[in-house]
Amino acid sequence: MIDFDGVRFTYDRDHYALNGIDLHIPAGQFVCILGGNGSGKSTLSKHVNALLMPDEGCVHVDGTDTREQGLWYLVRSTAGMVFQNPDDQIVATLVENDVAFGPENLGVPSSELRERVTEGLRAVGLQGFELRETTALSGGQKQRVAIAGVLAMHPRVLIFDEASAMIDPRGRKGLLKVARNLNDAGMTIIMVTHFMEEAAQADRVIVMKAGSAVLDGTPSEVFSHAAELRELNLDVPFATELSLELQEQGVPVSTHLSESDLEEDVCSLFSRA
Amino acid sequence: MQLVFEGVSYAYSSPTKKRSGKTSQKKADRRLFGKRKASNTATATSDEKAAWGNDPNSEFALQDVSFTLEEGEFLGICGHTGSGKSTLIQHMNGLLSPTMGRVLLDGKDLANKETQRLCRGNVGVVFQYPEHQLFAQTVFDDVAFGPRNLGLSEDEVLMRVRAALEHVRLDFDELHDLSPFELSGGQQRRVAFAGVLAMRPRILVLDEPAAGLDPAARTSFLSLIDDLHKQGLTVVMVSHSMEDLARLCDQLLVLNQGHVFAQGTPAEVFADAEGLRSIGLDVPAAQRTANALRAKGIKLPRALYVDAKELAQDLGCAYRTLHPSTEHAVKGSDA
Repeated sequence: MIDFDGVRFTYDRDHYALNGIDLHIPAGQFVCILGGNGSGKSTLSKHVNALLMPDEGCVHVDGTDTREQGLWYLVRSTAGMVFQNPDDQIVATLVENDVAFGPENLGVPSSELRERVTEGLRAVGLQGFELRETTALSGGQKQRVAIAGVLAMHPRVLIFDEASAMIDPRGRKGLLKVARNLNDAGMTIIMVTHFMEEAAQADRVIVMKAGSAVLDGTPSEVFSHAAELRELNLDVPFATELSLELQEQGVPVSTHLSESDLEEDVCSLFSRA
Repeated sequence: MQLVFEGVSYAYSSPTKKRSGKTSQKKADRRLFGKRKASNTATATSDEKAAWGNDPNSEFALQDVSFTLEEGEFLGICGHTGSGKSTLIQHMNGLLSPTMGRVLLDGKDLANKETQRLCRGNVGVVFQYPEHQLFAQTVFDDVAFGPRNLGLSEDEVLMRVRAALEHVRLDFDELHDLSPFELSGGQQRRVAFAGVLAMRPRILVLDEPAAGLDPAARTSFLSLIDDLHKQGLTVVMVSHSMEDLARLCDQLLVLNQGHVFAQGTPAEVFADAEGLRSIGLDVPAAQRTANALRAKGIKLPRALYVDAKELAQDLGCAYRTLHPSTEHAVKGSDA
């Protein structure tokens, strides 16, 4: 679905924000991209929907080269993006108008628009919110309206660029649930984040550092590199952190991702006394 | 400097609410609501109610909130979105005045305009995403804004700006002449913070200070706040992170739908895991795991577990009691 071949990118000719990225993301995968400030994770995600063009190498989205200006509308309707600040993405005063904005600009006929709006809102759990004022929504709700607006364009890839950074824990859980449901229905999800509970649920985690992908694997594989992650100033899920601390204390648990698995492991070790 | 909330209630209401003095308020209420309702209650119209998940029929953002913030204390405030946290902190420096009850700063009623004027600068409030408030041409001018408005001499202003930037661990010489908008997000936030510190507040109120920051920036910013507290500042912090609240605060105040749900030390408040979960909150992850292990018969000594390290230490100890031959690589003995 998405292919990066030898991609290098610089903002200012001084240093490379992306330093030779080779990446293949198959359709239907849920990928989390982690990394500290300046690691290149947002830069990478903006190459997927042709917001940025590689200086070297190329990016293909569903076979289309993103450098083809004439096909940007195609790339951007295949890959939609939700940004960090909910307030920056809302353009209309009523929810339904905001969701209709994208497809309207794509030339979707009016007869179909209503259906797309309803569909989009239902997919994010905001059915019935059509006539609500966008200014009266919570941060999490605004983000979901933004997602609905992207979904109304029928993308195959949804990119979350730190989309939950500015909302509270409950709103964050809601967004993650929406992402999971969409992924279960076949949507490719790319989630740029530093929240571990999001990364722990992904199929694949890529860790960026200084423009390169330094770790790439399943959450279990990646989070077992705790020392490296700590050096990059990244967190690991609580269960993983506790597993590693326990191992240091001589308690022979495995390295777990889930709290319940860890609890079972600890209990079975203690009951063997 | 002590801050006391006495039975504070606050309603989003008719425009007459903000008028000081009971008589004019009573008259206005009578005019709008008729004789029967001419008391201190005011009814909110549906347009003015908070939309963040609150019960749409409730009129009050805060109901009967009472607590005392002692000098030097670190008070944490938590609650679901819409529980009244932001409304509460805006009462702390007189930005909002109660519909019922009083807020007393060192015994003086903050609803009184004269008190507000005298107390200006004593309670510094840092709102969420404070970098959104940056506006000046240079970092210096932005931080100097507050002190200049206090009518201080330029020498005093310079001293204050230097001290404030040092407090937030920014290099004065490197940054003072730059535009605040040329800085990174984390630096911008520190500049905004310095702007409040330059007012030399006795009480610092922070609304989710680490919101939107990445893990490294979070740790750094919170350690800065912890240091300021240790240097004598009274701190109030609204946060969604149970870990941060447990680690940093002396006292916690838990809000639910505008009411005080619980108050006490972190150990006292987090003892009620079920209760907190029922109102949309939680306990620190380490405490959650400790509770689950206790329920399965494992004995753990501490009342509150804040992080993985503490929990692992105690579990390691307990494990070595059962398996005395166990070796471990930990630094320092804990036998």
